Amino acid sequence: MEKTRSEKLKELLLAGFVTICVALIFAVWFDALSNKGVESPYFYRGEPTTSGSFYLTRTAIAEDTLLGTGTPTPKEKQHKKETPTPMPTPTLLITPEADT
Amino acid sequence: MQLTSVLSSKKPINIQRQILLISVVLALIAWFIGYFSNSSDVIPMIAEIIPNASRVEVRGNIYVALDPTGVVAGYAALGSAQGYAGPIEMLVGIDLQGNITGVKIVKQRETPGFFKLILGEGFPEQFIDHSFKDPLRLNTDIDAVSGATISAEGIAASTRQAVRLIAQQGLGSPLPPESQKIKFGYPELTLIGLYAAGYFGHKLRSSAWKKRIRWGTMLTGMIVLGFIYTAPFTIAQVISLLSGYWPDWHNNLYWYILIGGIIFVTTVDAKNPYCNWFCPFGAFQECLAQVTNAKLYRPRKWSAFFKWLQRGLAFTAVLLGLALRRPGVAGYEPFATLFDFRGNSIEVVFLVIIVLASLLMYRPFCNYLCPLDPVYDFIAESRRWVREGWMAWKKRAPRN
Repeated sequence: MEKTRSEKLKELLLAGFVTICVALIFAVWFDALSNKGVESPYFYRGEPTTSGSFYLTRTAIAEDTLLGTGTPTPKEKQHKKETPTPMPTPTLLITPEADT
Repeated sequence: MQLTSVLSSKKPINIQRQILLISVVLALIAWFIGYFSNSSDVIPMIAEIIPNASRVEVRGNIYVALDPTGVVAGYAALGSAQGYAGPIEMLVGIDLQGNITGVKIVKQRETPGFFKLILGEGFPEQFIDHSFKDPLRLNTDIDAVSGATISAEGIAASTRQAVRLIAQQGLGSPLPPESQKIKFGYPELTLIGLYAAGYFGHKLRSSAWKKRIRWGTMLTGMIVLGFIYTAPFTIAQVISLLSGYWPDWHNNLYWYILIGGIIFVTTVDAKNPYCNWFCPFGAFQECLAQVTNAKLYRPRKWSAFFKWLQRGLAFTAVLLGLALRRPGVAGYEPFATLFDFRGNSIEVVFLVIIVLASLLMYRPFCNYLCPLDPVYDFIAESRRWVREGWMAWKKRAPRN
C-alpha cells in the first residue's frame, strides 16, 4: 500500500516535470518566433532616413560649425564668445529634396 | 484501447515504418514551404544604407543607387555566408570613395540569443566607414563577439563577399581572391580524440576500464566541448543540414566532424557515439546524479507515451525549422543557457527545473525531452529498414 502510494507520487512528480518542461519548450518557441523586431536591422553611417521628411534641430553653436567646413579650425573656438545661454535656432525642416 | 497501448514503442514494425514514412513526407512538405516562402525584395532596403538613394538600377550582381538628380550616389550588393544556424545575408552600401556607408542584415537564421548578443555588442556597426580595401576580418580590423564567434564570422564573411562584388562590378577595382585557410585546431582535435576514445572504449571487455574511459570522455566533453567551446550537438545543426545550409568546410571543419561522425557511426556501426560518451549536457546531468545517487526512473506503463512525446517535440522542432528556414529558432535545448550563461528568463527557468530534476532522477532531459535521441531512433530505424530490404533483394536476386 505504502509502496503504491510512493510510486503514485513519483509518477505524479514525473508527469508534472514533463508537463512544465513541455509548456516551457512551447514558450521558448513562441518567444523566439515573436521576436520579429531584431530580424532585419540596418546600420547607417549617419542618422537613418526612415521617413520622407523629418525634423532636425541644431543649436546655434553647432549651426556655425555645420555651415562651415564641418571641422572647426583652431581659430574658430566654439566657446570664444561666452553667451549666457545658447539660443536655439528655429527648427529646420529637412526633406530629402532640401538636403540635396 | 488505452492511450499507452496505442503509443506503444513495441508496436508492429510496419506501423512504426508507416509513421516514419508519414514524418518524412511531412518534413518534405515543410522543406518546400520553407524553400518557396523565403524571398525578399532588397531594392527598397537600399535607401536605408545609402544616403540620398532615390532610384536603383540593377547592374550585374550589384545595385547602383542614384540620387534624385540621376547621379550615382553609391553601390550596394548582397553577400551571403554561413552563420551558426544557417546563411546570413548582408546588404552592404558603399559610396563612390569606396567607404562602407551602411549595412543591413537582410536574412538570418541564428538562435535569437546569439543574434541579440551580436546586436547588443554593436558588431555590425563596426563595418561602417571601413574602406573596401580593408581586410574586414575578425580580430584584425573588426572586433569579434565573445560567445557568438560563428555568427560574427558569418556576418563578416557575407559583408566581405558583398564588398568584393561592389569592388569588381561597381568601383572597377577588383580585390585579390580570398585565401582559403583550413581552420583546424584544438576543438577539432578534441572531437576526433573523443570519437576515437568512445569507439575503442565501447569495444573494451573490461567493464572497469570501460567505465573509466567513459567518465574521461564525459568530463572532457562537458568541460571542453561544453564550457570552453560551447559547441555541443544540437537539433539546429540537424535542421541546418536538412535545409542545405552547409557551412564552408574550410572554416567549419568542427561542424562536419561532429555531424559527419555521428551519422557515420550510427549508420555503419548502429551505435550512438555521442550521447553516452561525450554529450556535454548529458555529462552535466550525470554529474548531478552522482551527487544524490539518482537512478533512472521510467514507469513502464508510461514509457511509450513519454517516448512518443519526445519524438513529437523533436519532430515539431524539425518541421518549424524547415518551414520557417530558421534552424536557430526551432532548437529548445538549454545548452547555451548552461555553458554560455546566456538565455532569457524562460530558458533560465527551464534549465533550473532540469537541474533540480537531475538531482532526483538520472538524465531527465536526455530521457524525456532531448530532440536528438529521436534523431538516432530515426537513423537506426531507417538503417534497419534499408538493411532488411537489401537482404531480401540479395535473397531474391539470382546468383551467378
